[in-house]
Amino acid sequence: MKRRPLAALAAVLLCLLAVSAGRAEAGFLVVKNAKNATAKLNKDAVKGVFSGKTKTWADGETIILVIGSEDSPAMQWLADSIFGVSAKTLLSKIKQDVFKGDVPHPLSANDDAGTLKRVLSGAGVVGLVSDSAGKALPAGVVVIAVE
Amino acid sequence: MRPWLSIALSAGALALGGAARADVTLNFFGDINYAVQHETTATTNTFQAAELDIFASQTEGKFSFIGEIIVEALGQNEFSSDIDRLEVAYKPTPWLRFKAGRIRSALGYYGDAYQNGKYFMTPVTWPGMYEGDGLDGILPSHAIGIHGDVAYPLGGDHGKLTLDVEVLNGRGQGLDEVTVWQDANNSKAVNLRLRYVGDGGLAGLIVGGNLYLDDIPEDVVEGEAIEDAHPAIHELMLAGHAAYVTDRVHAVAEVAWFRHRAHGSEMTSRTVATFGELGYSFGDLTPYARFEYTHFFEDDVYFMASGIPNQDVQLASAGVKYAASASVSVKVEGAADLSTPHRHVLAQAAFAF
Repeated sequence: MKRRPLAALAAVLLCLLAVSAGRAEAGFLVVKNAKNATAKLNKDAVKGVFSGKTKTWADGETIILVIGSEDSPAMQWLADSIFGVSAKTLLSKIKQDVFKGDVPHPLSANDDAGTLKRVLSGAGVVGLVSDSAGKALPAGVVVIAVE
Repeated sequence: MRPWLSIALSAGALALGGAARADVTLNFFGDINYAVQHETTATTNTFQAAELDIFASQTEGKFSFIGEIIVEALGQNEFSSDIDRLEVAYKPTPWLRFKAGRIRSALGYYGDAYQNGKYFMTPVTWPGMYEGDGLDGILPSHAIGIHGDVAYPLGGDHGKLTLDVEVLNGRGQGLDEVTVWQDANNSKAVNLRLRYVGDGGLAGLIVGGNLYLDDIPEDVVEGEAIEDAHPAIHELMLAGHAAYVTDRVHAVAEVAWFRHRAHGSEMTSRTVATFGELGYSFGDLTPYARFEYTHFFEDDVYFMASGIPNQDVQLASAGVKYAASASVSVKVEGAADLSTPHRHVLAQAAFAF
């Protein structure tokens, strides 16, 4: 059989692009308690919220994060897509700020159900859920549009 | 009270809080070391599992609480427990905060950047001016009193100016005494820290300075060896710090200058302590180097009475930190004092769960 290296290379590249596109689509949404009036944030503001740089919402309510463990998909998405660092680095930074007393202790959840339950628990709570969970949010939880 | 009993009671109190309030979480910090040390003629090696830090925090609206119990064997083979932080904070606005209790003084960069979490530090050890090998450092980094800090944003991405003001019990009769119950004199220490905190293109940059004034109580006990005693002393400390810490770069430099003057005397003793350290992360690996220098211009009776050797320090160290996970780091470091025969190699597993 005659080898066609260029065709094979093109096929491999197409496969890689398809996989890459699939990953980009498997995103997460920023969700908050419905009592919080914030409707939208730009990417830098999201970074400010999850880095602890921004400590309160516009209405003065203290921001409480819901975060997962190092290997949770939401944490990896947050670290990679928003901060451009590893989940390990981001979690370590959050822990350090908590230990310093600069930010409140985050709430812990490693899946959508846990995150939604935590977000419902307080007006200042914010977390991340998958796109699929975002299609059927319980009453009391709404999406913050990220511009 | 026996240390372990008091630890159990204290941890129990924190855990009870955890049971009653689902959002109170206990965290644990600590480190396990292997140390090889060489002095003039002898070389020793030892494993060390000498510190466990139990940390709890809670936020309710504008109020927050931190409780931190540390169980350690600092310089000895016997554990003792200590409440390292016990603070209540009130933050009425995003730019103003008040704290009261036992706190980490707002001193320099290291003073309140890492607290007791060696996991977060790049090097294995504290700079000697904060904590030495089995000894407290010469900086008054633990304090009891009140703290206020205010931030003034410079607009846009230009960062902010921050001012910390503290009124504290101040130093005890020795470096290792923290006046948690009774200040040994009625004078209060005052600590001011002014700093610039960068943002935008300067995010990660912190530059600032401290002014610290205190009146150290005398320590004269009949029958006690003269080298363990000292008169009442006026203390002035001026300090400066600069840090540039990002996800990759770790650069910190600090200097502190002390002047001690005994009451009723014009005789002064001056000391300067400084260090600089530099690291750069390649993925999970961060090689680093540090140089520390301490010089005693004159004999300082307070430091000497507290066990600080009256000899200059020129300690050069280098090592590497490996961030194994978001909870565990492993470090190896070698160091040599250029003015004494002291050499050491330290290996450390530090954790933050």
